[in-house]
Amino acid sequence: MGNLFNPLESNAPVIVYIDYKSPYAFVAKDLTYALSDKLGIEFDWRPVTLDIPSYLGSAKLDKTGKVESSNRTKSQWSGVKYAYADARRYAKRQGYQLRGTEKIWDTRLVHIAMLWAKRQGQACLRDFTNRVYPPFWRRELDVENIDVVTELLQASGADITGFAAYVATDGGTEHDQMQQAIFDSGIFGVPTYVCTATGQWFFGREHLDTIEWLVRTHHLKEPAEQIGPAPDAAFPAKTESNQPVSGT
Amino acid sequence: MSLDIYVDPKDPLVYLALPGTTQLLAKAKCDARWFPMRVDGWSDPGPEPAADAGRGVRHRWFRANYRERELQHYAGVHQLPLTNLYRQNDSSQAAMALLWLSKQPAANNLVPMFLVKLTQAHWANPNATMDLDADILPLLRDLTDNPAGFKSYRSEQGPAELEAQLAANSALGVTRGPAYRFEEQLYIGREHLPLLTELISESLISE
Repeated sequence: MGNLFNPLESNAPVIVYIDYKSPYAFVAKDLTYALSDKLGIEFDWRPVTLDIPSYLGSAKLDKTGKVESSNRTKSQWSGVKYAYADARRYAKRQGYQLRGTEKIWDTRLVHIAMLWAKRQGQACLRDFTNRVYPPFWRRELDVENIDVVTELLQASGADITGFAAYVATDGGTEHDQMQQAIFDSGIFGVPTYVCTATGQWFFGREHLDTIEWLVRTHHLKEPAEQIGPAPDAAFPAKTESNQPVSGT
Repeated sequence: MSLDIYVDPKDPLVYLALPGTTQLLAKAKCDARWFPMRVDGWSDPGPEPAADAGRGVRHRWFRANYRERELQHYAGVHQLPLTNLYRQNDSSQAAMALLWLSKQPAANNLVPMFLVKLTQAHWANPNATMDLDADILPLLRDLTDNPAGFKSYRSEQGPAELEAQLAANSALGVTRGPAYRFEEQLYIGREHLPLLTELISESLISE
């Protein structure tokens, strides 16, 4: 990858940046796949390993949900609590359970696995993502455990030969260089969507209609009268779940 | 059934939310109660910090820079002018006018009309400050038969009622706007309007 990686460029018309530890990226997953399916276009999914304590303070809860340790301000807590409650109600409408997390997870390993799955094809990556998100947000998945992550890869149809070595060598390096480049480009949160035809990017699933409009206008070049006016930001109210048939 | 809407008239996010919010109210045929809230004015992020500035510093700058770009994008979508985004002004008089209008007959029409006209004039003119004499009183004269009523309100119970409302907002968790409250649930941001439309419709059907 080296210096050739450009966070705003791809062969795909849309780049999607996600972090498995983000509740907002979780509730965006099915909506994003639904848009990709609707347009008949594969999106380029990439991991962003957010450094949450650097901008939102850190905290750890005990098993009962009580704050064990925290350096967050009152305003940061208020924002975090609202964000979870908000994501939870939309997750519920999608048929998912979203439990508040007990700690800020390190998603580096599972994001390296995401890169591994991606190399094995879009179907594998989609299945992997669908296998990670729901149990992780039910607090049933340890995404810092390499055995757990390797099992998920295997269940997603990935060839896992060499995965452990990849994590320790090229995969880790690729991931870390990628993260630095993504942050330096100004991308600060997830989900973030890049329309590669125009270079415009938007943070949050409320911009999916805008992404659709941009793709139809600048990539598919559909006539303006067919597309209609540029849309406002909005959270879609309903989405069907996109969980794998085998379930997790 | 009623939708409670919390706005700071000087908040550019409120300005962008008004088209969708008024559409929702027309479509859903539900009553709205409008309340003033207070948010900080937007701060100019200034020049980009150096690459060796702390990660948190850079993160906040990236976010602030993005926030303006997003806002200008959607102002363009709505064909709404948005000048001098980072001006700092007090919106207390506008907030009190909102409280006063909400007690008038036909408040359901008057309040959104007041907010739409006030914010459009404000963001079109880079020097406007939501000034009482220059901006608010002329607008109230256009909208109501009794603008003198507001003068007495603002010199009598208005300030105390505004402070009481702001305290009540904090207790409800209304800290950012625009905020919507429906069936005891809080929704912050116009992005929720499709869901609110759906919830209100469901609620009407079940009534």
